[in-house]
Amino acid sequence: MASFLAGRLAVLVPVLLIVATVGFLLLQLTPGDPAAVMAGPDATEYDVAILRERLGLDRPLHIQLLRWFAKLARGDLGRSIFFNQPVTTMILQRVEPTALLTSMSLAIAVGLGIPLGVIAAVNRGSTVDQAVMVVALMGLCIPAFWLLLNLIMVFSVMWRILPVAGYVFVRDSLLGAIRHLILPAATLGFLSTALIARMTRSVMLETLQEDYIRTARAKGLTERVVVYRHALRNTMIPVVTVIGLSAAVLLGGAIVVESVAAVPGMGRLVIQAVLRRDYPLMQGLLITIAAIYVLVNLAVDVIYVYLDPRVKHQ
Amino acid sequence: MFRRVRKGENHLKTRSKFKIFAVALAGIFLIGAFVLHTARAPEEPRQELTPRYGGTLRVAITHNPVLDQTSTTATLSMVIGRHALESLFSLNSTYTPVPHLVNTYDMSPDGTEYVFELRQGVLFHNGNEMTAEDVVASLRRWGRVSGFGRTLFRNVIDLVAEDRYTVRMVLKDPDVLVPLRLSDGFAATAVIMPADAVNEFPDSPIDDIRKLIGTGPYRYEEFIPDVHLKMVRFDDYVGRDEEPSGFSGRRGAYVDTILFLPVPDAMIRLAKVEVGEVHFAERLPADEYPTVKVNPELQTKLVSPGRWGAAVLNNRRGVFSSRTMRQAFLAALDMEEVLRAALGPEDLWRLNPSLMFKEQAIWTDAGSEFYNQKNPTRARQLLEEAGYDGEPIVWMASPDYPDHFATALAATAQLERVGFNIDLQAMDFPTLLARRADPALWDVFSTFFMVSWDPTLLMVLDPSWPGWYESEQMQEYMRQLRRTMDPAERLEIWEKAQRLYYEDIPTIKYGDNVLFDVLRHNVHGYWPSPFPFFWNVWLGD
Repeated sequence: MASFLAGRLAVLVPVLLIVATVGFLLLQLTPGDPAAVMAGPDATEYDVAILRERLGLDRPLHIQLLRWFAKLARGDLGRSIFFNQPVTTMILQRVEPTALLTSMSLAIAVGLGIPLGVIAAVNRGSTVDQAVMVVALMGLCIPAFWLLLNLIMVFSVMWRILPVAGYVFVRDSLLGAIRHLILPAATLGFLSTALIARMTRSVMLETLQEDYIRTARAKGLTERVVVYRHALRNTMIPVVTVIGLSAAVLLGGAIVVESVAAVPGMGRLVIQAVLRRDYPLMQGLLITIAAIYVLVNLAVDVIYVYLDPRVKHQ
Repeated sequence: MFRRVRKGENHLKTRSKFKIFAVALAGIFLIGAFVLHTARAPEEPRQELTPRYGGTLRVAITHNPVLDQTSTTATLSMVIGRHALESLFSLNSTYTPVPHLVNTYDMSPDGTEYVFELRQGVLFHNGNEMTAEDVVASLRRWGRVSGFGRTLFRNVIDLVAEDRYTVRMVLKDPDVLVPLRLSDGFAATAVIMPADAVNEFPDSPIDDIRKLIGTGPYRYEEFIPDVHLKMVRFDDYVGRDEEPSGFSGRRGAYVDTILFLPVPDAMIRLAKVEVGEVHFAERLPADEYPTVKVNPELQTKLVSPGRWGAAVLNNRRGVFSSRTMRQAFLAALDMEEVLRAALGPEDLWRLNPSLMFKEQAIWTDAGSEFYNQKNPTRARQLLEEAGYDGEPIVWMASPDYPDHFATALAATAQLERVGFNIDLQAMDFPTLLARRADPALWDVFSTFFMVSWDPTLLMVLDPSWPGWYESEQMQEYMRQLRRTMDPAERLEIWEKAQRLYYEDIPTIKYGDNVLFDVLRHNVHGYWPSPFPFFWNVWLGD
């Protein structure tokens, strides 16, 4: 196990380097620069040029990239041009809202998705199955912002039982933090539920055709035991991949939902960094999110081993 | 639920009740949400006359601001910053500059020399007294860091602190507008800070709120990006005694704290002010105006002067370096249609040929016979005269600002009907700003301008601003305007200038945009202006 983990972690370094370089080049190719944005719309080109020089943005590209890598080697992600705060600090500030939002969304997605998928599979062809599949289809098709705006309209504006938007830090009020995230989490959770439910259903249907299930039934076990103790565990293997993917996407930041709900998460920071051409911040976020993807994949692989002992012996 | 599935079994048992119930529930949910949305018990706003101290005022803004208002022309920075950082002069209710940190001042008869006597005993947030040395250091920095500052300082020969409370400024060319330039009516503001704070950042933006020290009724307390910017009352504020007028006069800090909350989505800002999560929401969509106007929990205040919508033409290169082409552009347009398309409700827009607003003393309709011509025939004539051969005209507009973009769509449709071949390019705003700097890349771009306090400050008449309108005659008119304070004389000069503007037509003005502010019913003391401010504001029940 240890060498397996070490091998996988070693992949992290080249992946991050490639992501960082490609990201930097792509951003630089996009027209627009942070000096123009900061100077504002009424500034003349002369004003912008002065600001650009003062921010150190007029140096050649390869120099900027090399300097960034040199800093990275020392563990320093640089400073945001727009905010002039260390990128590391800014990203760390976002960890709490993003982590909380991700956990809540995943809890909803998994808590709803797997049971729904199981129920649909076990009652295949029935109205329940059809209903679940329709709901799952809605989850895949409905735009996040539309769903969130409607939820806000009903729960916050009409019934006034939840806040409209914004965030309260856990250190100030745990309940406040959760209340602010319920609607965004419900939105993101619902969208992920669809994916997980459909995956669970497909895999469960296949699993239920397996020989060992027939054996279990022949032994006289109740259907409930057959499903829960035997079928479900094997179903989980591919489903865990989907859950892992969903988690990684959520951790990377649900940009639209965070912007609409005014949650200070990573997604919101990403979109601002891009719109303002804040290169150091964008770079830092890119490699952070890439690292998250790699680590989540790793976690999924470890869970595989736990779920399916055969993997260990391969 | 766990009944085993046998091969070939048919499952169409009647669970349709469940299905119907679920669908019906969802339907009721959504219909109810729409129908019941406006059902609310009306509340009578109480008349409050005595200001109350206390409370936290919550203001929803669109995005995180650039902190240092001196370094940017973005107005949000100045709207926030003015609470903490003050200027030598302030605009009163007729948008005329009056002394603020200055006590009295003298201008030489030829307008080349100013002597400012400062108020005494004015304290900075760090407890030190403001002196002439601080003023000189702050103004010099403003002259380096702000575009508007650089404009003035190109004309400054000397700036000295003559004694503890006296500052002398000597100019090369006459300029009667120095008090206006040094006032708080602009972004990239000339704010007064302690000399040692200023000297730490001689050339670059200050981005640490602990260093943004001023004399204002509030001071910076905390900035957490995407969460809030917090200002708290400065207990030792030394202000003026006069009755408040516009931005000037007495500035009472009644609320304890002001929280500026970045909320990017306009509909969410609206929802927040509707339910009372914030007391003030900036920049709400024009389409929502009819709804907020009748909401009994809200106050809606129209604001004019406001902004004006424009199509800026590239006078330096390309098809619009030809005056005939520009005139053709102007002749084709039906301004009403464009304004209605972009701004919607009629309360929110007005036809106005002048580059100044009707509320301003220097308004004139000189040249207005060229405005809103709606004359396609004439436009086609002019196109032919100019020898236009159908080459594509690059028009940049950003959907980041829906009203900018809507003016482009409406105008493009009209222009294409008379024979212009328009290549409308949508891009995000930072890209537009970048491309705007290069005259080879565009022929037209869409924008809105905030009101100008004086014709000499109009960006569209500045040859160095994108559009590049270079007219020696116009520059001469601007010089003349800077030489005299006499209102009648100035009006005469501006009439000639505006007439010239309509002959040259470097930038097309569509018309005026009346803004609107939305506040909760319990916010008192607010004076609506194009740049919101919250001193003298208090919270009732």
